[in-house]
Amino acid sequence: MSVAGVLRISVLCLLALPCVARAADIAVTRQTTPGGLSYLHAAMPEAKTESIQMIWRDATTLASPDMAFLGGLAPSLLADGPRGESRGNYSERLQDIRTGYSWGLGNDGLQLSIGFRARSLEESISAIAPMITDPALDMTRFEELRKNLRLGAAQAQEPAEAQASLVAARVTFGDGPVFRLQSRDPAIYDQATPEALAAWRQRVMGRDNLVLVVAGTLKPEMLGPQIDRLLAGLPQVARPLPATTLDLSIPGRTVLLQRPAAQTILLAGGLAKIQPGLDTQLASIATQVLHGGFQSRLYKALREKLGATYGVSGSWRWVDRSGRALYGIRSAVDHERAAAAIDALRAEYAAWWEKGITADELADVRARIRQGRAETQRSPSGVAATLAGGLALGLPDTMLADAGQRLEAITVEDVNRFIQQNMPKPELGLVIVAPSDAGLKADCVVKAVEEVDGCKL
Amino acid sequence: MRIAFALALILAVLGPARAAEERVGDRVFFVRDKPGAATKFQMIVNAGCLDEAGSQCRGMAHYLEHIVLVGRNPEHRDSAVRMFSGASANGWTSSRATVYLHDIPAASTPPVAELEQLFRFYAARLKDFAITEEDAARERNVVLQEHDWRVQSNPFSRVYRDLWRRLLPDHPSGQWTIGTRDDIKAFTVEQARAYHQNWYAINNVWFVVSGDIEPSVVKDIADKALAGVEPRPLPPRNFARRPTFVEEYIEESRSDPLVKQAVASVYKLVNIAEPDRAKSRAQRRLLTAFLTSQLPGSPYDIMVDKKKLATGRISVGIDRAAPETFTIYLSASAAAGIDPALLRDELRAYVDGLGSNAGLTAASIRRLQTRIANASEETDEEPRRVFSRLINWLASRYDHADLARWPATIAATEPEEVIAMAQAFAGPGRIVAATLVPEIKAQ
Repeated sequence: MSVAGVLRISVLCLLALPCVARAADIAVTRQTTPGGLSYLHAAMPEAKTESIQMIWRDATTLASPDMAFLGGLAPSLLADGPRGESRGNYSERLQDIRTGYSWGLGNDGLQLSIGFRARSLEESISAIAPMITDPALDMTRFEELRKNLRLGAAQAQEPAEAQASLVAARVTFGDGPVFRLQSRDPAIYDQATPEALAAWRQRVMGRDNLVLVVAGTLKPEMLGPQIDRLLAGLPQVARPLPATTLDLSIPGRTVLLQRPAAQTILLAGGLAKIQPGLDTQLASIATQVLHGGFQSRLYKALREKLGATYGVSGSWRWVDRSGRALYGIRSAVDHERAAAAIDALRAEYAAWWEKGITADELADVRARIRQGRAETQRSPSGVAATLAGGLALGLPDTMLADAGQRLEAITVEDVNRFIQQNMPKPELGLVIVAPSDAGLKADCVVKAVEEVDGCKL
Repeated sequence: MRIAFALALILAVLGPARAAEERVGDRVFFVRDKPGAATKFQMIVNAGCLDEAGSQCRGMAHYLEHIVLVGRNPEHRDSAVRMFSGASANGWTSSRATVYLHDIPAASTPPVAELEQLFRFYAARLKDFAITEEDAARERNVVLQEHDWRVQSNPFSRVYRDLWRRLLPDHPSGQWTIGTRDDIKAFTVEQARAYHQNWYAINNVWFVVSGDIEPSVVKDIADKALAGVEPRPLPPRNFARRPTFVEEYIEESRSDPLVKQAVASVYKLVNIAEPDRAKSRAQRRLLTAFLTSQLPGSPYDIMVDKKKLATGRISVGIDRAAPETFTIYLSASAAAGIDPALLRDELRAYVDGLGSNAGLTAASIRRLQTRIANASEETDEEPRRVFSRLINWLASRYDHADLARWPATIAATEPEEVIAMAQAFAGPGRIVAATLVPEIKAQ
C-alpha cells in the first residue's frame, strides 16, 4: 500500500470504529498554547505515554503530479533527523530517551506522529524540535535515496497483485501524470530535485496550516509551552496547494492481463460515494459484511464453499476531496477454480447490493466495530491519530462522541439504503491477471499494462 | 562488571519483573485486564512443524490447525472461527507451536458462558477432532493457496526457503512451517490424526485467558472443563537430534524475471556450547539487539550508512536450530548500482568479523540492556502486552519460571559474554551465501 493509502485508510478505519463506553472516559477539549497555537487535547489520565499528532494540510501530490516523488522522498529525508547529526546517531539517541516518531505523506497532507513517556516531556521535545525546524535534508543522501526509491518502486510493481492494480489504474485514469502518481511509477523519481523538495517544505510547514492533537496524561498547562517550543522555528503562514478534482471512469468491463502467475489475481471494483462522517461508518459496516473476515459472505463463498482461495479482502480510498472513492475487492485464487470464483464474487456482490444486509449481520459487525474502537482508544497514539485524521477531513472536535452515538443508532435500512445509493452497481469492473484467458470471459486481453489503452471498454 | 552487579542487585531488591499473569491451573494462566477490554482466549499446543513424523517438517501441524478450526465438531456445529457473534478467531503455526485464538467483545456481563464453551470445545479437541473427507480436501486446497500466496508467488521467499534447506539439509529446522506444494498435495486426514494423537495432550498445551473477569471464575471454568482430560506420554522431540555439522562454504547466484532489485544473503550454522540455556538466550538477545540497531558497527551502520552497499532495512536473525546448534542470517537489498556479489561478500565478511567488531563495546551493550529493561517495564504496565509476552514465551517452549527472571538475566549478562557469543558466531561453520538478481533477457 502506498504512503497515501496508509494515511487515508488509517483515518477511515479509526473513524469507522466509533467510540462507545470508553469514549466517555476521554475528555476532548480545544486548547490554545501561550504562543497562540490551537490544538485538540484528549485527556487520558491512566495513560503512560503521550502522543502528539501533526498534519500540515496540503494536496501538492494531487494538484501537481510532477511532485509525486514527494510521497516516497519527503518522509524518508525528514526522518533522517536534524542538521549536524547522523541519522543513525539520532535514531539511537531517541530510542535511549524512549521517544519514537514517524513521518508520512498522503494526498491530504504531511503527517508527523510523536510518542514519548510523559515524564520525559521536555527532553523529548528538545530532541524532536530540531528535526522539524532544521532538518538535515542532506543532498548526498537525497540523490542516494532517489535512486534507491526508484529501484524499490520498480520492484514493487512486479508481483501479479501489483500488476492488477496497475491495470486498474490505467483503466481508471488513462495514461498520463495521474496514472503515474496513482501507480507509483518509478519514473516519478526522475523529476525529483532537492530544490523542489526544500521549497515545498517551506511552503507547507507553517503554523497556520497545522492540525495538531495531543493525547495522554499531561495537562494543557504543561503541554502548551512545550508545543510552542516544538514548533517555534516554523513560519507563521503556509501556502499549501488546494485539492483538485480528478477525471476518471471505471467501466464495468473485464480486462485480463495475460502473464505467468502462481495464482489468478482478481481485482473487482467501482466508484463509490463516501463523505467523511456517517458515510464512513455505513461503508465500514456494509463492506465488512461482504469481506470482513471469517463471518463475511465472500469468505464463505470463495474459501469455504469453493476452496478457491486463502483469503479475500476489500478496501476503499478517496480519489480526491469530492467524496468519490475507489472501491476494490481482491483475491488470489486457484487457476482451476478462477472462473467459479469470479461467478461467485459477482453473485455475492449482486445479492448484497440488491438485497442488502440482515439484522444479524449488522449486530455482528457492530459488536466488532465497537470493540475495535475500544481497543484503539486504549492508546494515546490511537486516539490522537483518529482525531487528527478527522480534523484534516473537516470533522468537528466532537467527532469521537458523535461517531459513538451514530453507530448505535444505525439501522439495517440505513445501511441498505447507503449500499444502493453510494456503492458501485453490480456491474463491477474486473481486472484479472492470469497465465491464460481460457474460460474467464474477458472483454479485453492484454499482455502488457500499456496495451490497456487499446481496449474498447 | 560493577554496573552489571548493581543492576542485578536493584532487580533482586525490587523482586522479579511485575509479571501480571496469574497461574490459575496446572496448564492455565490468566491476565487481568481493564473494564471494557475484550476477553482473549488462546490455546498453545507446544508442537509445531519440528515435531512432524519422520523428522520432516512438511506442514502437517499447520494443516491440522486449519482442519481443527474449520471442522464441524459436536461441541460447535459451525466452523470454530465463528464461535460467537461479534467475536474474532484464528490460528497460527510455527516450527515449535500451534496456537488457537479467540477474542470476545466486552459485554455488560462477564463472559462466563463464552469461556465455558471455549474450554469445553478445546478440552474435546485434546481428545479428537471431526472433519469430513470433503471438507478436508477443500481445506487442503485452501492451504495450497496460502502457500502459493505466501511463497510461490514471491521469488525472494522461494529462494530463502531453498537456502535454509541448504544450510540444514538433514534437520527439520531447515524446512519451512507451511511445507512445499508437493508436501501439501499429499496430506491425508490419517496423517493429521497421527500428529494430533502424538502432541495434542493436556500436558503439552497451555491455556491463556485475559479479560475483566475474576481469576477464580476462570479457574473454576477451566478446572471443570479439563477434569476428564488425561495426560499422555509424549514422543521424543525431533528437535533434540543435532544436525550433521560440516564446515564448508556454499555460494550460489540465482535470477528471476520478477526481480528488479537484487538481494544478497548470508546464512551460517555454528555449534556453540550452552551450559546455561537462559544465559545463552540472554547473550543472543543482546547480540540480536545490536545487530538490528543502527549503532556504530551494526550491519545498518556498515552496509547502508558507511559503505552504501545496501538500502532499507537489513534483515537479521539468530535462532537455535537444535541443542548447541545455532543459525545467524543477514539479508539485504543491494543499493542502486551496487554489484550484489560485492554486498554478499561484505555480509559474509561482517559475520566472520563479528568477534572483533569495534562497535560491540561494553558501553553499547550496557545501552542495549537499559533499553530492554525499559521495554520490560513498559510491558508490565499494560495487560495486553503482558498477555502477548506470555503467549510468545510459552509458544517458544521456554520455561515459564524463566520469564520472571528474564529482566534480571539480561541485566546480569556481562558484555564480555555477549562479545564471546559474537566470536562464536564468527567461528567455524557452514555458510550459505547467495544472490538473487534480475533476469538478463537474451538479445
